[in-house]
Amino acid sequence: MEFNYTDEHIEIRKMVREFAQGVLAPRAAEIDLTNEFPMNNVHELAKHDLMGVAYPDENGGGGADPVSEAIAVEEVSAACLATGSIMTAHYLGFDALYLAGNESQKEKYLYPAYTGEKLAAFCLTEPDAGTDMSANKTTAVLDGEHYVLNGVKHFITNGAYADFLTVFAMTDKSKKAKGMSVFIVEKGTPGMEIGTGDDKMGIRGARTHEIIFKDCRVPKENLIGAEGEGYKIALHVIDRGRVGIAAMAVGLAQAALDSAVKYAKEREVFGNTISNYQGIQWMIAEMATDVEAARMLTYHVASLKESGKRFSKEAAMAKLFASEASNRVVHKALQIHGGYGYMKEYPIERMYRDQRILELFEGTSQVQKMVISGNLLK
Amino acid sequence: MNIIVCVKQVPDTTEVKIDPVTNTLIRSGVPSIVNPFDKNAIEAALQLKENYGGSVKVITMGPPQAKEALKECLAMGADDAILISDRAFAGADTWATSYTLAKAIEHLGEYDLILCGKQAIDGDTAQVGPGIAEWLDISQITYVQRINNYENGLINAERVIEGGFEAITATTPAVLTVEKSINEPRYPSLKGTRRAAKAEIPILSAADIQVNEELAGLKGSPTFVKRIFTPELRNKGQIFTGEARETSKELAEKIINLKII
Repeated sequence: MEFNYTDEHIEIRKMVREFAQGVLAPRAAEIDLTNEFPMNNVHELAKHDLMGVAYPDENGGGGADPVSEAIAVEEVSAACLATGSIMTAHYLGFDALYLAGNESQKEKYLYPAYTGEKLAAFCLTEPDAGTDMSANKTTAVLDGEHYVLNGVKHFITNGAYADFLTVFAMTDKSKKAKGMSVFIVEKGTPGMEIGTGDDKMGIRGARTHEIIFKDCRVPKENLIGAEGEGYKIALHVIDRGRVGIAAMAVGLAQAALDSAVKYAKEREVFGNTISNYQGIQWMIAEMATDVEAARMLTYHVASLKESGKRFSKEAAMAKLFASEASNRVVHKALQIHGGYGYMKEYPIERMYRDQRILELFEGTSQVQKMVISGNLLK
Repeated sequence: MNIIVCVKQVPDTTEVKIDPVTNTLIRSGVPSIVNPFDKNAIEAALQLKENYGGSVKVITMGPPQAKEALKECLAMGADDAILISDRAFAGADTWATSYTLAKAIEHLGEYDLILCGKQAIDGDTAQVGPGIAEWLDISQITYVQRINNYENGLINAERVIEGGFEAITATTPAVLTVEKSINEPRYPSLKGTRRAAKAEIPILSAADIQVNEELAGLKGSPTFVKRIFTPELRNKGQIFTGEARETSKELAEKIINLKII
């Protein structure tokens, strides 16, 4: 099978790159410094049809294919990984509706999310339930026309700003994983409190918050799918979301590589630019190979997404490989910058900090390995 | 409001490659962009359309590769794009270019406004916009920094002059050439980009627009480019320091000795 970019892929990359470099990149350092959620970036993404790239255009989505979406995420992330994270968290936040929502839920929440009119958040992780999703403690009890939610979520990206969150809670604890359900909770619903905001190492603009549910009454029409389907939906959403994370990693790694190449051509030691020394040349070669391998694996998995088939193993591989490759790349890129790479004036300093999360969220590398080996050894 | 925007695809480089026979630019092989001032014109047209309704057509006179420039304008939000292309148009100076574009515009039918960037960054003459207005015998407002409003067939705009601006009201149809300061051109959207990638762009030839081939291209050009070159860096010159009474005497003597006056 030969991989070829279509004309549309090339045009979309050019468009997103120009936009990202012109609008997002200049703000990246400031967002990192001020720890502020860049709502203006969210509006810009919406204005340029980037909040629902591979979703049907008859409902307001971009109408493009999943490879185009990966390209868009990649280019946004190369300019500002925090914004890339907000973008993928938004997709994660509404994908459950795409997979299992009914028409009235789609009209009210999903289609406005495609255009960016509504911002979404994915609300699953708890202090005692990250890797072990099934240890979910948040409960949802049916009471008349409402489900009553009680529990604490944390590390929720977009959580404090989203117009709606897809919240996973246990409707039947005795059934363990099969007792999990997923609900749409609107911003400002009484009983849902935005708790403390996190002080992160990197992607600081992609603010994450604790979300506390105290007798939060959610209309029963906001149940997505049926009771007990939450776990299955969560897995499917996270699988699909892994392509986005892989694309983020590729974008960041490319940006780090580009900045290392530029620096290597300028910096002189012992009368020559460092690009003339084989040690540096070999590092650049390794970095470029890592980026390209990560990119091709990511796009391959993105194209699987289009077929509608389950691709857990491949998605996990792409996320695992790309995130770990991005670590190798930023490490070398910073090293190439020498002392300057340690200074905040140089973007590589921020990229190095930003990168680390890629191996941790949406399933740590260890979780990815569980998924992959699980597929092979069953 | 029906608007036609004239754009030009220009080389994105300060190093020009010149065909030694015709002394005109060799366009193929050099990375190309939409002339930046023309992007301001497209943006102005799109904003007028948002306010007054209507349509935005973008045209360019150029070789086949100029389609890329048109696609970029479509991606920004223009409704239609037409390429005016024919071997007969090659090598045109601003006289022949404005003639050809005027004929194309006549061919396209009704319009209320023609917008152009004030000048192209390769030729820098700023003559084509005014030339089009003259060929079509309609009003023109050049160096527009702001379009105020459009009412009862009259367009009101601010024209930059040294030290300020003139407020001018013109009857439409009219030609407006725009300054960079008029707006920030929007980035294309994803949907616009997809639409543009799929778009079929029609080509109008000399015959299609009934151009007299004697008046177009190199043949129809009363001027020709003799030489394009980067000027040599001049010396810094001499700075006279001291009291004005003394330095002015020194300066005067120097100028007289050098026989400048």
